[in-house]
Amino acid sequence: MNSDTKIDKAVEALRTTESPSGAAERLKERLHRDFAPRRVHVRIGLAAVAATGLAVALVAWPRPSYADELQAIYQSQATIGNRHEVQYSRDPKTGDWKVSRELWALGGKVKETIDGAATLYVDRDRVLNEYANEGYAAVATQKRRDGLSLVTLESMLSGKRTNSWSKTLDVRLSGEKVDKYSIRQSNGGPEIVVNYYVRPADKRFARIELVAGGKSESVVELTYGSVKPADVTYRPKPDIVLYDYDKQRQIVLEKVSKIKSSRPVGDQQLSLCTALVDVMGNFQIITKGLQGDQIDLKAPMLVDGQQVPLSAVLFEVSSASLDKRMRRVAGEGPVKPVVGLATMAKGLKPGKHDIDLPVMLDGRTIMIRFEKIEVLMTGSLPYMLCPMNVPFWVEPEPGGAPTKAVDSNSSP
Amino acid sequence: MDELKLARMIATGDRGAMDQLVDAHYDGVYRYLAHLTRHRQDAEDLAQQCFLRARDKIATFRGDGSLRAWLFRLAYREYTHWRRRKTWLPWADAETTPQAEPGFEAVEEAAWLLDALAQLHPDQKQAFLLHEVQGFSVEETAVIVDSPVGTVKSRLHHARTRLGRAWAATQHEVNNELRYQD
Repeated sequence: MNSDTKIDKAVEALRTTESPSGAAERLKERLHRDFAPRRVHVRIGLAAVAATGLAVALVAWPRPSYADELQAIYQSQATIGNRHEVQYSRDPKTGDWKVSRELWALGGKVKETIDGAATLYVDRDRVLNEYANEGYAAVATQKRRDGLSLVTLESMLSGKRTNSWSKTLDVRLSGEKVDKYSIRQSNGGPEIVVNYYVRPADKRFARIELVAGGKSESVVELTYGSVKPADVTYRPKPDIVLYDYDKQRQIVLEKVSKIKSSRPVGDQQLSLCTALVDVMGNFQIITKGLQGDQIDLKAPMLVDGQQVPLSAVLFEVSSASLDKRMRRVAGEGPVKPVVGLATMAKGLKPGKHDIDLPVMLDGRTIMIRFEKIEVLMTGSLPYMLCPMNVPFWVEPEPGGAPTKAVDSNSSP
Repeated sequence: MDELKLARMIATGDRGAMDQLVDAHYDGVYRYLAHLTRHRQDAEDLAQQCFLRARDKIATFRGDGSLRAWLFRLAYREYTHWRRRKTWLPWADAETTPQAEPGFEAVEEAAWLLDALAQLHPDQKQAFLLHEVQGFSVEETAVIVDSPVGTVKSRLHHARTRLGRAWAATQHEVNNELRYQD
């Protein structure tokens, strides 16, 4: 056997490596648990899967009059301020039904639990996520993101699907007479049917059901008028640490805009504005004065004398284009770049630490020391500092431009 | 479904779309990370981290390349961070140099190749796994590892050459062994 044949055979063998049993399902569970529903999603308050089905159907093909009728009913649901939704989903493995999502809405307040783990509270523009397993909760003002409306959903879900509509009057649902709207769609795979059961008297949804391949997979039951203020009020548990991202962001802003001390690097000045660590061990440092590529990512920095590798330049923003409150203003030239450096430092405690940063000067690396830097603890650094992949004080580019990340390992 | 549409659905909070992404790409991402780390648990952790990051950054996917290549780029970064953490991580629990777990690769050829790949430069190993094992084109591999196409071609060439030499050396040893036994 020649070497090429041997390598090809070995490559084939490598392609058969299997992922651990249940790993993908564990991942899905984690993703669902951490999935903070967007503002629009919460306001509409319907199961995402059902909403998707509706959006597909509403945009497509010759629309019978009851399609418009259903759309009007659907849009009116967002204004119903006192309702309770329970979503049941079928476990793909056991086939058993389980509560996958529950929502209480009262006035402008909403409480939503997903798989009984992550709990979300919305009070107008303030959104609180509680992660009981991670031992923390975080509250922040959450702006509505552009491009996340149903209109966008409609435009992106257009495609070649076969849809049919039907409406059946006086269907019995738990002893009550309701109207049933059904939308069928198929895209080559199993047929998907979304059934909407609507009370004719008040035009409210009583049940939404998703049927895939002839099998009921997800059901949302809706009741109205029973939610009390206590149902939507957050009561912090004693073992949960609550982080207020709005307050923490204000602290970060002040530290970045008001530099207390700096160190000379050649004919430039470097300031270490602030350092932050989160419950997962993400560790980030914000500096001002040098370009990101003047930091030597290949050399470790020192925290209290211990080596910590620098992973990447997370972001780099020109301070010349920001005013004193770090708002973007017209301006040219990177006078004092604000640079975010990211790494991991599991076990690092908040408090004051001495930090040495590796900086390149005249072709060599020198260590610049900053003493007694206050390290701020937060829940999730990516969400607190870069909720849209760029620092919170910078408006993201339309379309979500990626942040500049420099990887020291990517050199040829 | 069109990948850009899928990405946008994930960005809007559609859990079904997220599941679809996991179903389509988890095995490939895990396999890639398992071959790099040679450690099941670490590969699973990194794959999980990769998909969490993908969910958070999905709005940055513009459909210029494939969603799979975009995911592997994230996986590649997770791996490079992991490798550095393995070298320096003063606060973590006792860390060890990654080693093949017993029974990790039952297939002899696969075990041989992983051993041989471990002797290559990490950049050559990355390029080989992405192009030869995962089936990415040279251009896609260049995007994933953020290097010029010519550099990737060179790494692939050197990787094959060195693997070939490793195989020849193994054969030489086997032949010597057989001669000794005779």
